[in-house]
Amino acid sequence: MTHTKEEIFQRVSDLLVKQFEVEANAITPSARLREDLDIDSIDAVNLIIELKPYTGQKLAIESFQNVRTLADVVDAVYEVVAKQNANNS
Amino acid sequence: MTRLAKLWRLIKTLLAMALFALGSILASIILAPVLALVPYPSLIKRCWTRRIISSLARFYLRFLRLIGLIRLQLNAIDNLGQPGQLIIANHPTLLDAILLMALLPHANFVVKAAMARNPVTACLVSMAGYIPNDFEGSDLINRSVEALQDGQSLVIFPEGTRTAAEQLKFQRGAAHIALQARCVIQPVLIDCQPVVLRKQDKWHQVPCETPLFTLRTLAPVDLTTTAINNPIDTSQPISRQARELTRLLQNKYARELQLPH
Repeated sequence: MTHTKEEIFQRVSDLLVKQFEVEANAITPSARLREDLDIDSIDAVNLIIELKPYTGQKLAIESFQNVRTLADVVDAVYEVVAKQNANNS
Repeated sequence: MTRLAKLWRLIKTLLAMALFALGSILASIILAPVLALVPYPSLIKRCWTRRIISSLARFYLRFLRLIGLIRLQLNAIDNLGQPGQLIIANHPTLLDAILLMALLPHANFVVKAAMARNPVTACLVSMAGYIPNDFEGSDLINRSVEALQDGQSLVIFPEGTRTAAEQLKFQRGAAHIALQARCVIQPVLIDCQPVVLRKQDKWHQVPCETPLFTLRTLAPVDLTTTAINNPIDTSQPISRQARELTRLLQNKYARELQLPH
């Protein structure tokens, strides 16, 4: 199952709006998780758990260490998904 | 207030601060090593450390009242400190933690990380089993939930630091702890009129009259599984529940303190 970055962005954005009360109009790739979207460190852990069915495996919390913006989240998810596809093919 | 009276108050303030500094240093130089070295199980030592810290806090408050630096009024505190109770409080002044430590000789506290790192307080904080608030994300929550399920009462300041300029901003850690532990939240309201020792105050800004510290409990929020009315919709994702609960708690305080909510 391949995912494009756009699909990932959409998926993550949906999650943020539905589960983390983020305002739809606050969502941009450059939006900072903590300062702009009010996503704290506990939210980050829950976000990773919510992304697991989508990514097929749990993102390592370490990969989130340097995540600051929504674009960073998309990149981190994309990396995991791409690696999985490489392993599968 | 006459200049002489103000000067007198300033001297008393300096004395109080000196006593606090001296007391903390003595406690860490004398008490901490003794407690660390006596051959008792760490649970017993933890109990003793908390009781000693509580006694020191009570002594200090008595001293402050004796020299006329503060007045103190405690209301409806009988139910405070029950096993497994999560106690939350607003945090207007520097004395808040000392007030609660004086009242609760057995409670655990979530403390500012600086207290756990400061060489003067680090040893006592560790032996008392207090929880530093710089644990990463879920570690703080897990450790706090463990303490509550262990039967300890736990005190946390949801703001994480002293109130900034009459604006309440609760972080969600307390809510996450309560939701995971399914405990009773016992809110405590601390008020100080005229207010002193705020984040933005300088030590030498003494008030014109003796500040009155009042402490009272607000209606508890029951998240236990046997609660009759569930204050939070638990069918929602946990991150929404935590946000809803934090708003509920913050609004409780905003109403009492007559701040915008």
